[in-house]
Amino acid sequence: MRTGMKKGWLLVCLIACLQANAQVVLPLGDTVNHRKTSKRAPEPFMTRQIKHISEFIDRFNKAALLTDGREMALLALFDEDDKRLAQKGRASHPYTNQVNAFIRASDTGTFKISKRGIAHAVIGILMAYKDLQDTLIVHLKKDYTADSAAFWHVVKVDKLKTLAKEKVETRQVADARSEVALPPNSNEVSFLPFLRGLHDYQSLVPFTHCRDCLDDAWWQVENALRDGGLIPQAVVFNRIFLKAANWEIELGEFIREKENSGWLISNITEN
Amino acid sequence: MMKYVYLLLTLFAGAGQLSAQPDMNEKRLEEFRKLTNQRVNDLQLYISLIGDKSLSLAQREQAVELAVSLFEKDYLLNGKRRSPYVQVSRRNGKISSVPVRIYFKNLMNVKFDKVEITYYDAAVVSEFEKGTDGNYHATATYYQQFKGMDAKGNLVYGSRDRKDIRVTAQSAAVYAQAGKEDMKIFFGDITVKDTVPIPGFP
Repeated sequence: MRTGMKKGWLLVCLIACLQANAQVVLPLGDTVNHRKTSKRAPEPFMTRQIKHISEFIDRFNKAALLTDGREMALLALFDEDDKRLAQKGRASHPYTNQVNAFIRASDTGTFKISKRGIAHAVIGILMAYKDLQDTLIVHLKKDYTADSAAFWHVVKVDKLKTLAKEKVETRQVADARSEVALPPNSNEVSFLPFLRGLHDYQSLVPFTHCRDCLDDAWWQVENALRDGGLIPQAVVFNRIFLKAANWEIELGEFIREKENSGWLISNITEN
Repeated sequence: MMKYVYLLLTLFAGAGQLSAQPDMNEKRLEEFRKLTNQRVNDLQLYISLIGDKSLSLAQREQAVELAVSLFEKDYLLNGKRRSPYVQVSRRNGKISSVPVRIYFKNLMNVKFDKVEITYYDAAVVSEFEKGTDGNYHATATYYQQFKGMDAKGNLVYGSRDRKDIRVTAQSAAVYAQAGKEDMKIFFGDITVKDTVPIPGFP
């Protein structure tokens, strides 16, 4: 019955929507509360923007295999607005030399990022604490179960400056059954499932699978969360770390209207 | 007595089949991708209806319910039922996170005399990946331009956004034995990010 009612309302809404579209040509003076909805062909940046991590990995692996144009294809995956990258008339930054070494290293034919490889993330969560605001840095890792299911979990939190004067106190930790596995694509939505979880549990503990990770910095944050003094507000940055051979690739999300945008390389480190 | 034992055994066997998620092949995942695209189109329609002040309040409230029905329900955590979140990031650095229902209710309250919503034929769905809950997870991305004007047609607010939606796909194996499988797609958290200032709007 309820489903039937919903369908009925949907029909009414659809008819109203079609009528509203038909009103688009009316002059403005006659159209108080007037809506126009349209669908357009995508702008060039929309199709080229790297929207998901899996898309970045596909493009990277394809670029690394090229014999002609490999350098250009790999450079297109870096943030072209990075001031450290060489520009005409400027002395080259050490980072430019590092990028060049990275591109040379990709000539081995084995330079590949595994889609099922271990990934890391570092996120910043804006926290409110006693009329103050601070950014909590959380380190997460993507792991896999024996039946190939993927999940994210917390491995470390950095010290929070606003809690520097709070004493460290180790408290009771619930058993392993309370562990929460964050969805494998949490990183694509700024780890919002984790933010929601922090609100629900008022604790970081359910989001870790490693009891050794609970160090002093962790306990300072954990206790302030449990006491209700520390309140998570929003995820303010999100960085992903992938591995290709012995290089660590840091990805940042660049939301802008040009083809060089979306998930791009913001840093590289040779291990 | 034996009748009850059989009944219990049947129930438990059924429950096992309901919760078991089959490993899905590429063809099946492609079907999920198509279904996700359809749901994204539905969501775009509902959002435009919610903001349409020419419709009655009841119709717009119904559009809110229809939009919310696309999302995960009864998200139970720590004894509390939670709705997925929408996090909006603006170019001025302002970031806010609210439950989806509140986000849609807020859309009902925007005060414009004229609204122009443009969608782009650029919605994409990422690869599905298996999670520890046995479901498959992906991210749907689409772009939307919004212009809100006053009665004289002056632009009051405008933005072009990229929206990323967490998608959960369920395939009910219980129907597979009868030659049928039930596909279900639920939306989860959404991030909304400004991509460009709209001309005329600072």
